[in-house]
Amino acid sequence: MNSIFYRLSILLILLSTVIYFSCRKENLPTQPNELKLTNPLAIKAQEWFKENSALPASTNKRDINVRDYTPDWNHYKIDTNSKGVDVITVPLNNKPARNKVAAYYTEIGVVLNKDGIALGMVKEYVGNPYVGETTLKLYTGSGRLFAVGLYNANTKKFTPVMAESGSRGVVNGGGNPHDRLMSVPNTYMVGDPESGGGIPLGEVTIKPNPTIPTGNVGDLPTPPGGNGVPSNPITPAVILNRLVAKLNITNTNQLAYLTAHPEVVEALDQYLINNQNSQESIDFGKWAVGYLTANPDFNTLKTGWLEKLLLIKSLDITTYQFTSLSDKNSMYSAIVDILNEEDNNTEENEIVAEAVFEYMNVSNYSSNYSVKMTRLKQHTKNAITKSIIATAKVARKLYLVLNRLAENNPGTINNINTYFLDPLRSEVNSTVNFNPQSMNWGDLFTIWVFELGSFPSANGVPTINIITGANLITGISISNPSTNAFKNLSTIVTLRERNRILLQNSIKNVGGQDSLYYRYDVPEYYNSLVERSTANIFLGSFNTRITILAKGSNSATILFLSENVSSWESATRFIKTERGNVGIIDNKARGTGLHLGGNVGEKFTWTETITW
Amino acid sequence: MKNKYLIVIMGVFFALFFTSCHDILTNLDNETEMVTDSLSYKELIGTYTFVPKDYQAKILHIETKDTIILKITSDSLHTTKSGGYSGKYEINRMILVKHINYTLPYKNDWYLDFLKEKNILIPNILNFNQNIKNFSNISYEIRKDTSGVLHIIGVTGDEGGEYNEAFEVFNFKKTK
Repeated sequence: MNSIFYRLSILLILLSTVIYFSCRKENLPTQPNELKLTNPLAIKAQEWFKENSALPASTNKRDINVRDYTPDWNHYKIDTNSKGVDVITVPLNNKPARNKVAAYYTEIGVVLNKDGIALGMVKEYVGNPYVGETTLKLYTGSGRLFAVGLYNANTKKFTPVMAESGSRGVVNGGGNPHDRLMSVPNTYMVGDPESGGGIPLGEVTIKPNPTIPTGNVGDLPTPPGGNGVPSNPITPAVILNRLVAKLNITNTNQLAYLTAHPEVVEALDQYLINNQNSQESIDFGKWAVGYLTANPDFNTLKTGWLEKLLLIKSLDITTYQFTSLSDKNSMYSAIVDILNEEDNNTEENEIVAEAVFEYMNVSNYSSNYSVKMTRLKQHTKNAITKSIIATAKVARKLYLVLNRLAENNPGTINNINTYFLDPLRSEVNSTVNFNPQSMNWGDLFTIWVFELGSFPSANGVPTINIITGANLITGISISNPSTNAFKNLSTIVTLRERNRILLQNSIKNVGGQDSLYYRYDVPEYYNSLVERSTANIFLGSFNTRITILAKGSNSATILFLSENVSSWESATRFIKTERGNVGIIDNKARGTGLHLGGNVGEKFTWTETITW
Repeated sequence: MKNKYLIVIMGVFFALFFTSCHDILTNLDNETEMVTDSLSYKELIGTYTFVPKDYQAKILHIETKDTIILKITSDSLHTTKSGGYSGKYEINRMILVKHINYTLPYKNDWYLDFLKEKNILIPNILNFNQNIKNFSNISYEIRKDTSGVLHIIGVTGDEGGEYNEAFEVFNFKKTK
């Protein structure tokens, strides 16, 4: 009996499962507030949204599922864009339970082309579009991300920072940032060329999509509204109340501070949204309001103040006693400021600051002491593995911070070298290949910036001699040799080819010389990023001289000699941080001052036989 | 009386302006762009002049008041094996080599060709034969200014040296 009951139960469960899955309907978007629209453009927009939301959703994490959104047809708005084309914008309400990214505001924008076909996109303002700059993401009607950029509330301009490659659909134009995608300078770059970034954007491209024919100027809608303003504005009071509720702030002083500092309210609100109101972000928000209320002199009008606050919290400054240096408190502030000026890499800034504070916290430097700086050592080694640029960033931060420390405390430079930099250099030393014949560009860079190894002096500068057969010259075991092998650099190719012609015409003969100086200026800098030319990034400007060693009837042997000096000045000439150009670091001799970035020369010497 | 003072002050002002801003005005005039298309020898032939700046005069062992005249002529014009052109040039002070003190008038061969290969920095090859045969430590760039006037610019570099970068040794501007 029990057995029959048991079997029946299993059968019922199986049947129920089959019935459930066979009868389950696809979760199509519901339109609870769908109105019977009368405006022809609104009707077209409604059809456009229905068609697009019925398309299969992308599984790519960066895309959105438009079925998670419901258009608010009660609040659509129609404007005329600068091309004289009517544009409809409709707020999209996100279903909180299925929210992918809690964006500040989302809407669709639709126009009709000459044939009356609806063309549209979904625009997602990650942050508040009324204050400063915020990220704006543009999706196709089916939710595929095709461009990301920054929207500036003051200039009302959209600057793309990422665009999908695919079929070209360039829409140029100026004026209202949203009424067309703007062309991007050819040199516009994203990311680190060695870590897979460095995307050259000659123009903004649009991913193919059945509902968005690409190409014609004016085909894309004017989002949002007619003046770059969202259709359903959110007032500062609403944001304040929202933030106070999220952070559960009841302290009257804190409430008064927030009321008097709308920029803080905006930034914290956006921070919470960006972090999907995580508990960690809420904890930070609460701490930040408390800290700012207790430190009313903290400048929240200065760019990057939020990152500085994140750094202060992460470092937990109260654990440092600052007993050995007279002005440690002011140094602490200066270090945070320097790092904050560099970039928003809060993790790296925290690691650098933590190590420096650990050093500053030492009360009595002696031969028995060394700063552990465990995280900094590992972080630096990781940066070396990643790319020259990543290594340069952390080395530059260290130099700037430690240089300030040395300037403010004359006489401490030896201690900084002995107890901080030298142990770090020793750690890095194990990652480097010192053999000039088999080393790569990363090895050369690390040798220069951390002042590693010892090399014979030429003209008073320690110089690494790299000769015929070296991997750096031939490109063997070097990534992207067509760009990064020394023999393939444009200077060398130019010298080789022009002397081939001069030899052929007997204008050059044995003993003849020629030279060419490669000028590394701003255009070359951007080109080298685009081409991911580690060689050019490392070398910058350099001089090459050739000498004709032997000549036959249709061939000649040429000696190439290229000389370069790696120095802080050439390395920092084009560095621009997120806060703009932060200046050049002066050159210095190796072994003097801080043990970072002292001049090192490289001499590339090899022979080639050319024919004509 | 007041007008006299005004004239004197204005005079001093303009004198100072032109003295101190001469370089700026010259640089504005000299903004150039590399000629990347093949240049015909007919375009090249002509008279060029160069008035050195302080640092150029120092390198070339000449005075800033000197005017160097380079004449590229069609004398002995012929085509070379590779299809380039060669002829005679004259210069009133030989300055086409860096750091060699040889400033007497000079006459020798010029040579012009064009490189079509990819990854070429200076596509028009210009060569001035020297007293030390086939020696050159200056790259000759053919450029045009905003008015379309041809310039022959000598470029060199001294990596790690006093200037530590590329600089113009001379800039001859075509005058006729």
